[in-house]
Amino acid sequence: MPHADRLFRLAMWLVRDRTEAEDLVQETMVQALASFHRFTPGTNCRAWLVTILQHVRSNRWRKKSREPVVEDPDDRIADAVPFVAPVPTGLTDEDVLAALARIPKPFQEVIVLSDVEELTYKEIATALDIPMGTVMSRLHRGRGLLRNELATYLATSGRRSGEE
Amino acid sequence: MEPDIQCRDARERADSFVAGELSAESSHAVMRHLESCPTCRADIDARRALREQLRGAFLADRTLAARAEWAADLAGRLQSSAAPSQPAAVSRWWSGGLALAATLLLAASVALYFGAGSRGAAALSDLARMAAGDHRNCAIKFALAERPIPLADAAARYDAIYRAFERTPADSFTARGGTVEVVDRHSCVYNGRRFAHVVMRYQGQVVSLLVTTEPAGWLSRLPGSSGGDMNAPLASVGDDVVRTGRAGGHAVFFVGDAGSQAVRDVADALSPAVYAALAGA
Repeated sequence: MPHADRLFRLAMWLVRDRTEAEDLVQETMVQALASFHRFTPGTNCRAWLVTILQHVRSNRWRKKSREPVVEDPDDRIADAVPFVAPVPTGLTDEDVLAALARIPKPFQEVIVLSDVEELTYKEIATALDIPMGTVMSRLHRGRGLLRNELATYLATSGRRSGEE
Repeated sequence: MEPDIQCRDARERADSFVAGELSAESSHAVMRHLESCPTCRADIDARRALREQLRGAFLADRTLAARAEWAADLAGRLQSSAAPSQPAAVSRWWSGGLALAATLLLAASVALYFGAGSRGAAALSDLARMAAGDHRNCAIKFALAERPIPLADAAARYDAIYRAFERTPADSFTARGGTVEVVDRHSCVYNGRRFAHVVMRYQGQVVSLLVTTEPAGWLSRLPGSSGGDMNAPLASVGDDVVRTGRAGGHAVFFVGDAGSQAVRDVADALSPAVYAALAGA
């Protein structure tokens, strides 16, 4: 089941707990199956599955803590990216994933949905239930943060970042 | 057309450009700028490379991979939870919905293999394997390299016989255990071979009728059957069973989920019409 495997990677990245991720994806697939008549033909079914996954996730989160799953980081981190490093080169896969894991979750989320899952801005907005403008600003800031992380990492590990 | 843009604008739009999210005009403006600006070009290349590396790293990372046992277990659960699947509008069901639902339903193992000890399977030729592959990838996974095309187009371009499957079988007909509904008809290509493909739904299962032009000398290698042999044996290919036949220079396959009576019922109900259509060609 290629969809389930792919979805599992996403869930695993987001929750960082195998049992919870397995649970989440199972519930997502069951819900998807039960409601696939609501799937709009011709649209991206991965985006649809990601949307269901997010619903399942936020419902569980609310039950557990009575708080929304995504705290809004936009005000807190607004303009917190004063300097954006040039895009570094010569990175290993581990470098890239480790740097991604160090930036705040909501930024990781949009970057993964855009770069890995290849969802459109509109699909991301639907999946996360946030305005499209927020998707774009989160992506913009998130990418800046990611590049800074990578540059810092390269600087401390004695390697050089790419040329501007 | 947008006026020329400067480096700053180009950088601001760079990520949206790489993600394919810019309007055509805006995207052209960035491209025009890139033609004359090697610095921005390098910047865009680096962003694209980072994006691709991130994707590759994420999808290859072993700590994020699902356990095989979990995947198999989930496939089983989904299959049983979906057993009484509700009917939906036929055309809507096909275009995407079918593919998705079926993908959710079916077991993880998609690779076609010959089950050890199955003599019918061992005798199955490449052609029948291709038909099973097409059924699985087209009707079940909806994952073909080439887009399916209407039968009429395929008839005009490749083989006039494909047109016969616009009418045969009827959109709805009766088999031993109930009504069979045609959910789609088209021509598709799997592994370089073109098929007329009729996708049907019967008792909650997806069954395919696949017809392809006989490559010289191939059919003699097919197991058992010739003509519309109603008693032709079923051979299993991976998770599927296939019934093969031949007529009028064409090979005919009925393919569906193993372990069900569906393929046999549909093939029995349909064979006379299909072989008549092929013989008349």
